Amino acid sequence: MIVYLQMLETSEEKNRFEELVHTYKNLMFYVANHILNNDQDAEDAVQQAFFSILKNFEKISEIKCPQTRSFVVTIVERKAIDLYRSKNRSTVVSFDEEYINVPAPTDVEAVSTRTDLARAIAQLPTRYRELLLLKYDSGYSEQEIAAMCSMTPANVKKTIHRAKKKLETLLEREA
Amino acid sequence: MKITDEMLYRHAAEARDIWLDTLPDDSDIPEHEFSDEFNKEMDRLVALSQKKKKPTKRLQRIAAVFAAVLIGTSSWLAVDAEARATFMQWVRTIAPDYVVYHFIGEAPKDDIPNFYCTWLPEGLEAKELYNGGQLGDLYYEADDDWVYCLSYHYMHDGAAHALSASSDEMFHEAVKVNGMPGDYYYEVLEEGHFGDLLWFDEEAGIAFSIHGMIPKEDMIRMAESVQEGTTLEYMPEYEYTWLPDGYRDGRELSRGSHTRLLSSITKDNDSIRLEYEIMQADTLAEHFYIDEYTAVKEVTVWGTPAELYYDTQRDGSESLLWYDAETNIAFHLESTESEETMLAIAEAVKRK
Repeated sequence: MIVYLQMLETSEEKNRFEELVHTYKNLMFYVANHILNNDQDAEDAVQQAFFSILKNFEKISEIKCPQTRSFVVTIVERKAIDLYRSKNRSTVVSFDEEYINVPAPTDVEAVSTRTDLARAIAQLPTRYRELLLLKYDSGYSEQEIAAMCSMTPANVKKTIHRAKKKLETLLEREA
Repeated sequence: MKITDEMLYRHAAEARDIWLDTLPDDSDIPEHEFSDEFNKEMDRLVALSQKKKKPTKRLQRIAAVFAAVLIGTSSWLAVDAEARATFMQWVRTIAPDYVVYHFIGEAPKDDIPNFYCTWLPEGLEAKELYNGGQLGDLYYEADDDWVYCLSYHYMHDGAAHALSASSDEMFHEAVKVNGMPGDYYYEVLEEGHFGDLLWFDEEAGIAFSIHGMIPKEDMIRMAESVQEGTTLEYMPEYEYTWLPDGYRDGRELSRGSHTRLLSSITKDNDSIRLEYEIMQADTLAEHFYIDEYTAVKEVTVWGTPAELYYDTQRDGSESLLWYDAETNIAFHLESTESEETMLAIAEAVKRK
């Protein structure tokens, strides 16, 4: 595992990583604990998230910006949901789990100036929203997203395809 | 309404802001006192971020797939591993909505050969081939835009194969492919059954898989028709005919029908990387994802307009992009050399 770990190149970047940890660890813990409702598990999810972030750190140009905030929250959210699932094993994954951490429609619709498509993306089931933001906002390739989310590249493609279909349905329904 | 990539690129940032606005402000989040164990782990992570040679982008992508899978599963691998190959080449671990195969063995020195299906369901066409040394992917496309993939890789330490379900349930059946052990997984989607078929050639030490919206019988027929070889050719190969002093000759790190990557390094690990890809897009910077720059300069390479991306605030990696409209190949040259040297290297890139 260590062999594959991408290291940061300079002490300056090491400091940037420390800054990232300092800036976001509390928010990440809050997001993870909201899903897991357990301090220890939430800390585990935050640890795993920082590990993933470290491997992709070269793409983070600015620590305190909405894009980085979105990226770190997306990663910790995914780690927390994966942990939640592994701790709550059942033969069938409940439909509700797909909607863990999905904002309430009233929260999203509060700002009326937003475009319909943007509001629809924000309200998608978690997995769909995560993959769309990682690809179209953060600019990660499907291979990179697959690595971050423990999916195969083909599965990432498939899920993004389904997310687009879901958006089409949502927007047609609204129209 | 058809949702296109272009629409998603345009609205993703706004969607992200809407979503972030639903989170509380940092000042409203109670300060959590992290455990000593957590703090120790963070110290370890920061300690890991020490000066090391950065691997190439393409290798990072391959490695990241393996690493993330291992990291994500290490905590429960020990207790949940429920199936093992006869000769311990793989271990399967099952969670409610995902499955991971962890491979064990030595990596062969030779690159993995290419494989293809000699039988395909109607409407499926091979589109793109990628070979990264230890693994290969052959992508197929169908008339309905679904993407299908034949993957193959050596079973060696550190390699893993993960499947995850995007719907409520994933079903499993043990199967045989030409007498070799395999597993078939499928999900029931609105559009039909989406299947993942894995099988293991334990003699050759190669794991194969096919993913796609194909009936099980057709998928097994595809699998049983797999042969060594390819119907797609590698794209044209380019080389450096000149490099600054100290750089070794370019070494090809990945090859494919639509993309290749050439790298050259010095003994101090300074590198020059040339990634080139067949594409139609005219937004090269977005395609190659160049984000750490503060200025763009219009320059000329091969007599055509090119763009040099650089950071005025610090010395760092610069990116030079140009496009050959005759071959539809986009080039991305990356190094820490000066503008003048970058342009000289680019001018010296020639087709082999």
